[in-house]
Amino acid sequence: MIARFARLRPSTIRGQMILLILVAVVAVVQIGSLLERATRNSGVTITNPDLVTARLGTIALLLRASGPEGEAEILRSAAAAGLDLAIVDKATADALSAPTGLNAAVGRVFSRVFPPDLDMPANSRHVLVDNRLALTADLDPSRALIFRNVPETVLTTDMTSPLIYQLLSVAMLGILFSAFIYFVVTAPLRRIAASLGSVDTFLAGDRPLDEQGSREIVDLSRTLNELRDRIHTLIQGRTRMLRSISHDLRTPMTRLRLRAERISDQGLRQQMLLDLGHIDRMIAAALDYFRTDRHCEPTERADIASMLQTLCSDFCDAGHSVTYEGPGRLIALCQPDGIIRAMANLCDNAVKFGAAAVIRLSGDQRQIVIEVRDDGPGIPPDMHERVLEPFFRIDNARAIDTGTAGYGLGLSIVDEIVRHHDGVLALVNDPRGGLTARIVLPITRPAAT
Amino acid sequence: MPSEDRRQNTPAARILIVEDDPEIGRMLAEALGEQGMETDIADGGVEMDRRLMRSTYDAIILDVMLPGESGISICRRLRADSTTPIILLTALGDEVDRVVGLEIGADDYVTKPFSSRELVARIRSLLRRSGYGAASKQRPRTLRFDGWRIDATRRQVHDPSNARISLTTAEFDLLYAFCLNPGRVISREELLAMTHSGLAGPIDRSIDVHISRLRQKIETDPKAPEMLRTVRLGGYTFTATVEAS
Ligand SMILES: Nc1ncnc2c1ncn2[C@@H]1O[C@H](COP(=O)(O)OP(=O)(O)OP(=O)(O)O)[C@@H](O)[C@H]1O
Ligand SMILES: [Mg+2]
Repeated sequence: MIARFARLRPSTIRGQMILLILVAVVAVVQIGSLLERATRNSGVTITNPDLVTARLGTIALLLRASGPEGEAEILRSAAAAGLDLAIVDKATADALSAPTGLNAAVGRVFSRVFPPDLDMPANSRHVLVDNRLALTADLDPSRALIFRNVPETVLTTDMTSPLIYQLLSVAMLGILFSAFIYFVVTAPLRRIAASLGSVDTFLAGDRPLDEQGSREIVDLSRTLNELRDRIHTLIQGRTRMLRSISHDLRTPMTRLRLRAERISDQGLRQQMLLDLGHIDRMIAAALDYFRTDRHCEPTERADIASMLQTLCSDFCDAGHSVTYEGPGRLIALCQPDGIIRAMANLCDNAVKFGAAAVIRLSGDQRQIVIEVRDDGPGIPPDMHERVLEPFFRIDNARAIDTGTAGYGLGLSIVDEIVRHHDGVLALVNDPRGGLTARIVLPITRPAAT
Repeated sequence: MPSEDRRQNTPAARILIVEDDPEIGRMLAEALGEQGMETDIADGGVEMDRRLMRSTYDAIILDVMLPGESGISICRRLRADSTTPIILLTALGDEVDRVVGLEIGADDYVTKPFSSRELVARIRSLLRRSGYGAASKQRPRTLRFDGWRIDATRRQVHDPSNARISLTTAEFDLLYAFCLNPGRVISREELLAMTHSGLAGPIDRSIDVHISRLRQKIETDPKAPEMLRTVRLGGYTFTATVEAS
């Protein structure tokens, strides 16, 4: 039964909306007529207060005209006709309180907005008898007539009965639409947003989005799934292409290199080996830049001081002048290989563009500051943004001559790694000459043990 | 010429080159031959098996990318029943390959394109190490001392608080060598032979420099070393108790 209903249900949001409106209309008509019947059956057949007033006036007139026997006769006949009438002392009638509360207030507003067509009988007013609405009118100077079971005006005037329908339809549509928007539009969208998360998690995740719900939602999920697949294919294709280029290049390059080593002319041999080294480093750099697994390194507790000391030793052993200033131990949560990589790139620049470099480390409870200072020419301030872009170099003429030309990837990799640590990379020119590259990492440092 | 001396004193090292590119194979053989090593070339797993049946080798140089059975699979197979040192020739020099290579039992790896000088140095170092009895198969992958942990495959060191401590290649090799020989006095010459040191760069640091750097990283007070003691006229000794697994 439910399955059949599900099959009949329109698949688009527009169709579902139309169905919803139809359901609402039918429900309003049904519930409205039920309500109407319910109020009619409450014992009072007269629903129009104008009519009540008119009758009260007529009966009061009749009573005044008839004698005492006639009065009893009239009251009896009225009771038989379903009208609840009584004659009381005027004092008693005056003592009855007027209706209060919300209903009475609304009723007063209504009778102000929609005044009765007929004038009320002399000195007539609404009162409460046994907590029910009644109408009294003066019969003669000493007596008053009470008409009980007067219908509550708000629900039962001619004006208000269409209003029930209006209220009902507004409420109906309101409720149905809120539910509809929530279950059919908001909830699925929120689910999609939740499972997408950030761009990174979207791309990293491999579980496709559920293709469920109305057609628009299904289309959206499917498009996003396709988008992700496409991006994956692109990334994989790019990596695979670079890898196979590098692999296919490396076999002939190994051959070239071994062959070049056999050249007896020393100048020619040196030149060829230099060029080969250059090509090899270029491939390695490009391959490294396009690596997709850099962010996958797990975060762990690592000693930053020993990382920088190791770097220093490595650069010194390679014939450069790099010194370390800082504590002997500074443990922090980070991606160690990423940090080592970033610092190696900065040191590489420092000794490439300058002669000597100093690595300085300091840290407090909130952050860790690592600086690499060199004595090179520095970077013009208007270039500080651009040098972070991949493949951007300012002027490599000097470096190309000395065979240490880079590819403009070093700083962009540093920037990427630092950002991934929620840190900041700043380049500062020293007034005495030289560049300081400063990395500030907001690391909550676990107490060193 | 040192190679001449070598040939006179000890039998020439026999190296098997497993490489599918005939020219690379031939040139490698030539370069190693000039350094006084005897070489045979196999162009794949099948040929290698045939050669291994007929004779024994001191080391195997194994290309990872081979047609037919891959170098990785061959390496794993060789390790199952032999301790002959293996050097992998890989085309992609990234971290993953190195870890995979060492995990399947290779002793070292060289990234293409390499210089023959580099390869020869690696082979020498490997032969020296296996000559000192640290045969590949028994080499423990994880070592512990005083709360410290050494992962030989990933070449990582963790201190007693489980924080990763970074070491240079030479420092790591030294620490590993000490952990394999705790309590023994090791001479500088032996230490030099047991490590890659000297391959790192143009500047050849003395063992003492590496030792002093290593002390900075693992000793509580590097000026009064507890674990890495200097033995007068003898060399160094490692005093910690080492557990291997
Ligand atoms: N310490 C520095 N002193 C002066 N200029 C620098 C310094 N660091 C970087 N630069 C300039 O910024 C440019 C970009 O640096 P980046 O490290 O990104 O590339 P690279 O060093 O040229 O090449 P790669 O790092 O890929 O080998 C460099 O080409 C250089 O012009
Ligand atoms: Mg650079």
